[in-house]
Amino acid sequence: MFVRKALRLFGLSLLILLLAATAVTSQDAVELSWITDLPGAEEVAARFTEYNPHITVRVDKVSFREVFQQNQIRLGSGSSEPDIVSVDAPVVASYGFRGWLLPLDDAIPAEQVDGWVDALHTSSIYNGHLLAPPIWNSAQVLYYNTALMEAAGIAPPAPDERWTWEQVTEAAQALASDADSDGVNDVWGLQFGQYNRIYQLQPIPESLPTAVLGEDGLTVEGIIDSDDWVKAFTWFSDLHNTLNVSPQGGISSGELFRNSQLGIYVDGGWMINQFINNPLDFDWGVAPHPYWDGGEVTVPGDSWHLGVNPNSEHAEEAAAFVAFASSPEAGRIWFDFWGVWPAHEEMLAEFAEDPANAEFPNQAFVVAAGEAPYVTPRPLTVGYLEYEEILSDAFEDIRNGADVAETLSQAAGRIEREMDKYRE
Amino acid sequence: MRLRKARRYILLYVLLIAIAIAIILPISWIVASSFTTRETVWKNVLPFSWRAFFPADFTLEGYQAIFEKDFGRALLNTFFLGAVTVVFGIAVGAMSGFAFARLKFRAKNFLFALVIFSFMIPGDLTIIPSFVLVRDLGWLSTWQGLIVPGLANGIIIFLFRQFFAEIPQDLIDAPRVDGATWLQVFTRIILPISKPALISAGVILFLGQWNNFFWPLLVAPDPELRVVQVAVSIIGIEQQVSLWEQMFASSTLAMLVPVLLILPFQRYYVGGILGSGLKG
Repeated sequence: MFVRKALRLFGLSLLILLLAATAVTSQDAVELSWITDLPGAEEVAARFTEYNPHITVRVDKVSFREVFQQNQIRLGSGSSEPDIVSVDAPVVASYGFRGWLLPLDDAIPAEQVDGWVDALHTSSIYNGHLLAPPIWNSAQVLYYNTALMEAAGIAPPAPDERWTWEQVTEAAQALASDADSDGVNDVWGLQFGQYNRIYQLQPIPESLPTAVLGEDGLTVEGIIDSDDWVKAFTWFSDLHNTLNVSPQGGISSGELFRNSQLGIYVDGGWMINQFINNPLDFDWGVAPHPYWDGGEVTVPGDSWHLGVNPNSEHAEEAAAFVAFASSPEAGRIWFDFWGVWPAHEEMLAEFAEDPANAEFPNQAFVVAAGEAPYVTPRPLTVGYLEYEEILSDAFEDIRNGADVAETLSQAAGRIEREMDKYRE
Repeated sequence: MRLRKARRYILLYVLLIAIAIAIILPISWIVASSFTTRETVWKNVLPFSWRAFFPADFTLEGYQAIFEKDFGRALLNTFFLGAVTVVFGIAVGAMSGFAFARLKFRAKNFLFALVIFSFMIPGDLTIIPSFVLVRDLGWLSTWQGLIVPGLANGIIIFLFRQFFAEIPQDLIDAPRVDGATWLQVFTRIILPISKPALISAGVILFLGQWNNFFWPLLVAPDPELRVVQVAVSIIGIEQQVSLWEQMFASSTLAMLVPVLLILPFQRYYVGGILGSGLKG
C-alpha cells in the first residue's frame, strides 16, 4: 500500500517537475527569424546562440532580389516576422521613412558605433536615429589578367598605383582583340561587375567631380542630365559602342575574366576570396579603383546593414543580435567565411599591418581594405529603389547605343515624377 | 495552284522550324551546360560556337553538388505539395463545377461570375491580402499555408463546369429517377466519364504548384519547406557568386519533371482544355 502511494507520489512529483521544466524552457526560449542572402549568416547566428543559449536564430535563405520583395510585403503588411531585417545600405532611408525599422540608438554600445568606417555609419542613420548598423565593409577594386596585359605590352598597375580612367581606356583598347575577325572580340578590354547598376557606376560622374542627387535627397533634374553626366556616360557608351572594348548583353563579367576573355575587370573585394579558393589558371592582380585625371577619388562600397522589425515580438533579443552581428567579433567571422572586410576602422588597420597579408594573394585584401577612406555612400534618398531602377534601364539603353543626353534626360523626368510622392 | 499550295507549306514549315529552333536552342544549352564544369560553361559562348551545345568536359559534379545541398528534399516537398493539391483541388473544383453546371440555387450566376472574376485578377494584386490572411491564421511556415490557398482554383472550377454542362441530361435524370442521391450521381456516373477533365485539372494544378515561386518563398522561406523553384533560385549562388553548373543542373531537373508528366497525359490534357472551351 505504502509502496504504491510512494510510487504515485514520486510519479506526480516527476510530472510536476517535468511540466515546470517545460514551462520554464518554453518561456525563455526565443526563436528569431532572419531573411537574408548573406553567406556566413548561419555561422554568425550560431556564435550568437553560443553566448545566448536561450535564443536561436532561424536563417531563411533567399536570393538577393527576394530579400527586398520579402521585406516589402512582410514589413509593409505589419508582420511580426522577420524579427531581424536585412537592409541594403541605400534603402535604410526608404525603410526608415516607412517606419519599418526600430531605432537602435540605445541598443548598440557607443564604442562600437564610433569604430565604424564613416561612410558606413552615415548609411546607418535616418532622421537622426541609428536604424541599421553595418555588418561589414566592401569596396570595389580593379582586377587584371597579368598574362593578357603582358601580351598586349602593358605594364600592370602596382598594388598601390591608382590608374586614371584615361589610362584604363588606353589599356582596354590595347587588350581588346578579335583574332579570328568574326566581328566578336575574343578578348575584351574592360567591364564592370554590375554594369547597369548605379552602385558601381556612381563614381564615373562623381569622380569628375559632380553630384548624383540634389541636396534635398529628391531632385535629379539638372543633375543626372547635366553636361558632366552626359560626358561621363558618353565615355561609358563609347566603351560598348564605338571603342568596342566592353561587351553588350547580360553576360557575366566574372566568368569572362575567369576564362581569360576579359583583361580588366572592376568588381567588389569579395571576388578576391573566390579567386583564391577556386583558383584562376592565370596570374592576376589587384589595384585601387580608378578615377578621372584631375578628378576626385571615389569608390563604390557600403555594406549590408541589419535592423529590427518594429512589430517583432522579440525586439529586445533581435536588437541584441544586431549588436552582435555588427561587432568586431562578428566582423572576424564574416571575414573568415568569405573574405569581406569588417566595418571597424581599427580592425582594418590591424589587417593591413598583418605580415600574413603582405604577400600576394592576401595582399589583394589589403588593397581592398585601403579603399575604405574613399568609399562614398550611395545617394541617401527615400526614393532609392525608384532612382536605381530607372537609372538601370537608362544604363542598359546607353550600353545598347541609345543617345546619351536624351536617355539621361528621360530618366531624370521619370525619377522626378516618382519622387513627387515623397515631396509632401 | 498546287505550286502555290506547296510554297505556302514550305514557308509555314520554315517558320515553324525557326520558332522550334529558337525555343530548343537555349534549353539545349542549359542541359549541356549542366554536365559541364563551371570553368568551361562560358568558354564557347562569347563568341558563340556550336561547341556550347555539347558538354566540354562531361561531369556530373553539378548534379552531385545540388543533391548535397538538399535539392532532393525540395523535389520531395514539391511532389507532396503537388499531390495533395491535385487530390483536394480536384475534389473542390469538380464538386463546385458540377454544382454550377447542374444544380439550381440562389445567386448561381452571380457566384459563377465571381469565380470567373477570381482568375481574371492578376495574382500580384491579391498577394498582399492573401499574405495577411495566411499570417493572421498563423499559417506562415506551415504546409497548410502552402496548400490551402491553392485549392479553390477558379480556372479548375470553370473547366469542370464547362465539361459537366456538355454531359447529356439523360445520364443524370435516369439514376435520379431510380432514387440515386446527387452524391451518388456525381461519384458513380459523372466522375467515371470525366477522365479528360480530371487529368487536365490534375496537370494544371500540379504544374501550378511545381512552377510556383513567389508564394512559397513568401509564406514559407523555411529550408524545411523549400520547394523546387525556390531551391533553383538559391542553390546556384554561393557567396554572391553564380555556380553555373549547379544552377543549370537544378534548372534541368526542374524542367524535366513537368515534361515527363505532360508527355503521357498530353492527349487528355489538350482534349480536356478543348472540351472546356478554354481554348480558341
